[in-house]
Amino acid sequence: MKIFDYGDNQIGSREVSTTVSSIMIGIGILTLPSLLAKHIQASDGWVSILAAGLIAGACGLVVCRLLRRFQGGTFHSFTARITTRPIAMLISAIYGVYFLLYVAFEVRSIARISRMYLLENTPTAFIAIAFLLVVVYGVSGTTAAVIRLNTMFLPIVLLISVVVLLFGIQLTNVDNLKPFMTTRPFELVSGTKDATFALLGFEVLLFYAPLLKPAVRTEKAMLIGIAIPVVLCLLTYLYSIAIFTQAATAQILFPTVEIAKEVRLPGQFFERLESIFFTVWIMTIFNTSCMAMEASVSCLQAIASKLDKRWCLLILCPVAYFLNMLPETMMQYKMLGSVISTIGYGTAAAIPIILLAVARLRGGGSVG
Amino acid sequence: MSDTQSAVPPAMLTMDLRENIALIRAKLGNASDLLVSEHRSKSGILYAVFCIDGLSSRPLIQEHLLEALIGSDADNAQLPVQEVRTSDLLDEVLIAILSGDTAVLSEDFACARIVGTKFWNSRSVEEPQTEALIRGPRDGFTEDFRTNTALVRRRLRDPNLRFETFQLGRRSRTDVAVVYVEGIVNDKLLQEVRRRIHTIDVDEVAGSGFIEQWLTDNQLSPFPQIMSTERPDKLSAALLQGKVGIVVDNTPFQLILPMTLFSFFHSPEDYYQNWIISTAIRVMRFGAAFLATFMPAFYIALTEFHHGMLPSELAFSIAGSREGVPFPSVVEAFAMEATLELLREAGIRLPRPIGQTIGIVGGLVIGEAAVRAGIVSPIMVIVVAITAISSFSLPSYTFAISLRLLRFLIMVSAALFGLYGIVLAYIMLNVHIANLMSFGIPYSTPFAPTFLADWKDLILRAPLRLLSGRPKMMRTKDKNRMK
Repeated sequence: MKIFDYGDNQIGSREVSTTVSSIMIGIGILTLPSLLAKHIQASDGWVSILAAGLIAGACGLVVCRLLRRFQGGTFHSFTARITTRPIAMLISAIYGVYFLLYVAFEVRSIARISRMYLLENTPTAFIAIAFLLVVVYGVSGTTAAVIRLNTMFLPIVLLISVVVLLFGIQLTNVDNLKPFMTTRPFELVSGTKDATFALLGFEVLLFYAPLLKPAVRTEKAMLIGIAIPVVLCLLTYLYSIAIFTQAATAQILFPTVEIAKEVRLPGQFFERLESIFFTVWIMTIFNTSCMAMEASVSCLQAIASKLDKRWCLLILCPVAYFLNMLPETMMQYKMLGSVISTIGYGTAAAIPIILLAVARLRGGGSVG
Repeated sequence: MSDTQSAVPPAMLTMDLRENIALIRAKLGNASDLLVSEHRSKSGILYAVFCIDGLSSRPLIQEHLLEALIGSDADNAQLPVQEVRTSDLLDEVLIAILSGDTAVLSEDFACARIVGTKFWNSRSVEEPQTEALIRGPRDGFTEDFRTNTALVRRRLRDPNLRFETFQLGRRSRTDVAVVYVEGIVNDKLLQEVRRRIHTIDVDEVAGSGFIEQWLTDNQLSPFPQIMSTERPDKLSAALLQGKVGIVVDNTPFQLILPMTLFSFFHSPEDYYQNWIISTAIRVMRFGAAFLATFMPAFYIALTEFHHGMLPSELAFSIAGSREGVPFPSVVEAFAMEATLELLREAGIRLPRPIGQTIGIVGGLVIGEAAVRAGIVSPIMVIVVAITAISSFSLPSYTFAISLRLLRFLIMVSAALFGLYGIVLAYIMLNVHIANLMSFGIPYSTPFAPTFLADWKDLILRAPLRLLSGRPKMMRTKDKNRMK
C-alpha cells in the first residue's frame, strides 16, 4: 500500500532540541558528580561543567555549520564530496565504531545499574540482551519514529528530574558546597575532560541531516538542546555535593541515583524513589542507545551500500552485545568509558572542525 | 462501482416487454418475493411493474404509481412520485429492484423507469448502547443507511456537507458513503480515503468493521486506527475538525478517520459541559488507562521483585495477606485477570434477565470464596477490581479492548524482569505507537510531532472561546471556526 504523508516526518527546531538533549542525557550524567568529586575540591566542579558546556556548544555550532553545507544530502555523501571516497569511508567507519561502542557502553551500564538498584538476582546477560533487543526494535522502525520517541520520553525524564530535585532541596546542606574556588586550575581542566564525557552525543544530528526542514534555525535549537543537559549536570552535581559532601560523592558510583534514594516523597507511597527514578531514566538511555544505534546503522549502510536496514541491525546487534559483554571488571568497564570519550573528542570536535575547514578551503558545497 | 472489470458489453433491455419480463424473472431465479404485475393504461399501453415484496413501500406503489399508470391516457405516463430515473441496463435495473426500488417497463420501449420506493421495517432511532452519555443527545445511528445520513445532515446544515455514495461488495452491494465537509477537509486525505475504498474487493461488506480492517494502515497493531461510533454528534463534530466519516449500511457503527491515540480519550460530553470539569475528567481517563494497562503488572513486580519499594507497613500487610496463597503472584494475577475477562465475556452473551447472575457469581463466588479458600489474596482482588473499573471508564470500547490485551503482555514482562520489564514493555509500546500511522498522520500527534496549538484540546479542554482554530494536525483548508 502506498504510504502518503503530510510531511510530518521532517524535523523542526523543537525536534532538533529534543534530539540533542535526549542523546546527551544518558549514563554520563549519572556518574559525573563522582568523577568530578575525585579531584575537584568542594563544589568547584561547576566551573568544569560550565566550561565543558561551552566547548560542547562551540562544537555544536560547528556541527550546525557543517549541516548547512549538506544541501539535503547525507553526512556520508557530503564527506565523500569534499574529501575523497576512501577518506569518507574511513570517517564513516570511525563514526560507526564509535556509536556502536557507545551503544555497548550504555547497555552495559544499564545492566550494571539495574543489578544494583532493581534486579539483584537476574544475570547481567539477560538484562543486557533484553534492553538491546528493545533498542533493535526501536531502530527497526522509521527514523521519524525515533525522533518522535525523543519527544515522548524527554518530558517524562525531565519531570522526574525536577521532582527529585524539588523534593531534594530539604536534604541539601549549603555548607558542604564551601569553600568556593579552592581547586587549582589544572584540576579544573581535567575536570572539564570528565564533564565532556557526559555531554557527548550532539554530533548525532549529522546523521539526521536529510530529515531537517530547510528553514530550521539549527544553531539556536542546537544550543537549547545542549543547554538542557548542561543545566541538569550542574544541578545534579551541586546537589550531590550539597547532600553527600565531596568526599562521599567521590566514593559513590552513581551519585545521581543515590540522590533519588535519599529523597522522600510526601505520602510515602513509594519507599524507594530511586527505583522509579532509574526506571524512568531507562527511557532516556533507550533514546540515547537508539539514536547511536541508528547512526551506526547509517554508517554501515554508507560503507556497504547494498545492505538493508534490517540486515544491518542483524549484523550490528550481536557485535554490540559482544562488545557490551567484554569488560569483566569495574576497571575494564571504566576503561571502555574512557576509550569512548577519547574517540568522542574526535567525532564530536576534531572531525567536524576539520571537515568544516576543508569545506571552506575547497569551497565545496557552500551555500550562498 | 467495482463491477466493470469484464470486457463483455453489459446486457441491455430489449424492445419486447414479454422478453424483458422473462429475462428479469430468469435472472432473479423466479424469486418468490419478486412481485411482477402487468397493467394496461387508458391509452392502451401495457406496463409491467417489478418490485421486491418487503423492501418497497406498498402504499406508494399501489396508490400513486399504479393509479397514475392505469389512469394515464398519454403515450408515456407521468409518474407522480419524487424519485424517478431511467435505465436501459439490465444489471442496473436488477440492482435497483433488489435494493427496494420499483422498475416500470413499458411496451415497445427498451428503457425502464426506476421509481424510488425503498421502504422496510427498521429499528427506530434509539440511545446508543455502547456510548451512553449523561448530558448530550440521545439519538444514535441505526442500521438504516438513509436514517444515518439524515442524522448527520440534521446536525450540519452546511451546503458543503458531502456524501459520496458507493456500493461496495461484489454480492452484497452495500451502500457506503464517504462523508466530509468540502472546504474543511484536506484534499490529500480525501484522495487517499477514496483510493483505499476503491481497493475494497470482497463478496460482502459486513458492517463497518470490514471496511475498517480493510482501510487500516497497520494490520499488526492492536490499536484501532479508525474510530467507530454510534453517535451522530461525534461524527458531525469530527467532520468539522477536518476528519472524514464513512457511513455504512446495515450497521449502527459508523467510522471516523484518521484517528490519533489521544482522540480515544475524548468524549463528546467533554464539550457539552464546563471546561474545568471536562479537563478533570480527561485527566482521570488518562490515569484510568494507565491503571487498566499497568496495575496488575505493578502488583507482580512489587510482590515478586521489589519488596523494598513499598512502605514497610504496606509491604508487611501484603505479605501477610498472601500468606497461605500457594502460588506466586504471577499465577495469581493471571488467574484472576483471566477470570475477569471470562466474566466480562459471559456478561455480554447472557440474556438480559439473567445477566445479573453474573454479578453475583463474579462478586461473591470468585471474589469472596476464592479469598476464603486461600487461592488468591484479598489485595489481588482489589487490584483486579481497580483494573476492571478503570478499563470500563474509557469512552472507546475498541480502545479499551486493546488495552486489555496489552495488559497481559505487560504482565508477562513484569513476571520476567519486574519493574525493568515494565519499563521495557512501556518503551516498546511507545516505539509501536511512534511507528503507527493513521492515514498518513502519526498516531502520537499532536504530542509528537508536536502541534502546540492543538494541546488546547488534548488533556486540557480549553474554554470554548479559546478553541478558535480547527486542529492544526489535520491540515484543514479552513483553519478557523470563529472569527
